[in-house]
Amino acid sequence: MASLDYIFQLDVPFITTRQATIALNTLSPDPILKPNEITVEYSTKDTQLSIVFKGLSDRVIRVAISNVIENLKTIVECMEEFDN
Amino acid sequence: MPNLFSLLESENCQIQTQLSSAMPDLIPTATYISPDLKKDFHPGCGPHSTQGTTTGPSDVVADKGAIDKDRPTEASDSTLGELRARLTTLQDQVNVFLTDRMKLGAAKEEDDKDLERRILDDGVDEDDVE
Amino acid sequence: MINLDKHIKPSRDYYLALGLEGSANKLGIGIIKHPKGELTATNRAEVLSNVRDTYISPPGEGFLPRDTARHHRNWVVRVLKDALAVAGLVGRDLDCICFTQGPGMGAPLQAVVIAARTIAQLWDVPLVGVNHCVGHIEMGREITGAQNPVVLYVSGGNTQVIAYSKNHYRIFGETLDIAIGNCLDRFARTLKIPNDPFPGYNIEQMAKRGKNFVELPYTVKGMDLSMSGILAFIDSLAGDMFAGNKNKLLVAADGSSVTPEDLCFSLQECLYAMLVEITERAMAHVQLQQVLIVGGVGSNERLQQMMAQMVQDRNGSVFATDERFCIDNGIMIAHAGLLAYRMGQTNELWDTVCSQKFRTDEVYVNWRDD
Repeated sequence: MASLDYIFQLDVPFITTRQATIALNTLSPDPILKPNEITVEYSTKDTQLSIVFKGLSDRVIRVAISNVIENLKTIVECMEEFDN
Repeated sequence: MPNLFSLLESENCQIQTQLSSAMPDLIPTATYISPDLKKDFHPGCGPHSTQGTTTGPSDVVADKGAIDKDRPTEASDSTLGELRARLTTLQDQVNVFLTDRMKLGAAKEEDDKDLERRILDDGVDEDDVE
Repeated sequence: MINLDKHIKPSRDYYLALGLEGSANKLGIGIIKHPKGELTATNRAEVLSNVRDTYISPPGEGFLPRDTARHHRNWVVRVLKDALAVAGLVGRDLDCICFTQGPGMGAPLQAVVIAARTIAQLWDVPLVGVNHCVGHIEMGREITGAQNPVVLYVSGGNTQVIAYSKNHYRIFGETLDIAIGNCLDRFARTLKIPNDPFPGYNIEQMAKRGKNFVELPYTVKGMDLSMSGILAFIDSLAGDMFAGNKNKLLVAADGSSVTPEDLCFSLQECLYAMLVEITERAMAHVQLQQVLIVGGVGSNERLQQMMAQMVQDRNGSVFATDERFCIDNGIMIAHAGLLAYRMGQTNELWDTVCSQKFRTDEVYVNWRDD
């Protein structure tokens, strides 16, 4: 199997630990469609969410990264509006 | 670990904004590692906006000259609003960087286009749209 | 007699459910209220809000999943706010948050479920995944009062004939290839008709001005039907018409030229006759006399008329809902989801993954005991 040599780590800080956990729980249920081309791992440390992408090429990780950030923006907007 | 340049940048922004807000800024960062290159990403001081340059409508629609009524909402005047705007900046930086890398890489163009189409549109051909 | 109230909040005698729908190009969010006890003609569900924003693509274009998902992502928080404001509620007032888990387009479904998961955790409210078709069926039953009809579900993405049996909505007939709404939408693109308010509506208006009937292939196959061959045939006719090619099918009986209006008229007559036939076949099979038409194509008056003619000949009745409910909306998801919630069905986060091919008959309809 070809190795996933293209690695990208995204670190996103939230205001509270609860928010970081909610973001992780919201992103993680959806399975990766092509696990032999890309893997995505989520973790939290206190108020920070970390996401590590490992893929076969720049193109594969670009699409995944942009999609995850799109979802993150939705999550943050929900918190902006409703987490008072 | 952000490199020295982005560390200075972020400290600079923080000094400016901490004068005006009680809540620390939420700044997303990223690191890219490939066999031939390592690079850190930091959104910088801004100004930031939720109207990303790499997240507009698809070319098919934009080329028809349609007005984009589905743009993201403006960031609210809050810590999380700023986070959302900074995430947009970071996303644009990463998209531009990786797109440039892809062009340099000059891989099999048709295969790559198909991969992207498969991932974004679940293999739906443009002629088969709903 | 089923007990529908095992999960009611102790301090209340009603339920409040939020529903999010985004399986195609409509983003709909609604809040419904159920009183305690069985829903009857005198104990009705109440719509507290029903907000919708539709992604409309340029004329001649269909809606791509990635643009549709972008629309839903960028509108979902605004529409949520509106739905809550119109109902006069805050998130923590809700008993459950219901969302379309499928079937439908992958990226748009996912854009909406991300918001659903977030608000469910923020407000500490359970999630309920809902099948889009079951949403249409249950809303149709509630609004029209039709208790146990044969259901014709016709939309851009689905064409099914359904009847209830032993806790499942069973599919008696369906399309073997494309959905009828998809067929109409694609022909609308061929004719470059605007997509606003929706292509099928514009085809219907043109059809009303059509006079000459052009014979098209008629492809009922037992209990099912096929439509892609008809689409290919009529696309080709339209191509000849625009190019000015000689084609004897494009010359009417009186010698005049067949127009786009005539083609719209002919397409509707052919497709709807096929739907009426497979619906009638199902009625005979299950011995039911009521027909309920749900889904966006159900708003078409010609279809309702043709169905009514057949049903009246059998001494039955036809039911249909208006555009608030037959076109995809969040209220139907809230309603069907709340029925499931009252029977103890909720989804843990890991179990909220959406599926493009969620079958109608997979749902355990335990809120009915007939």
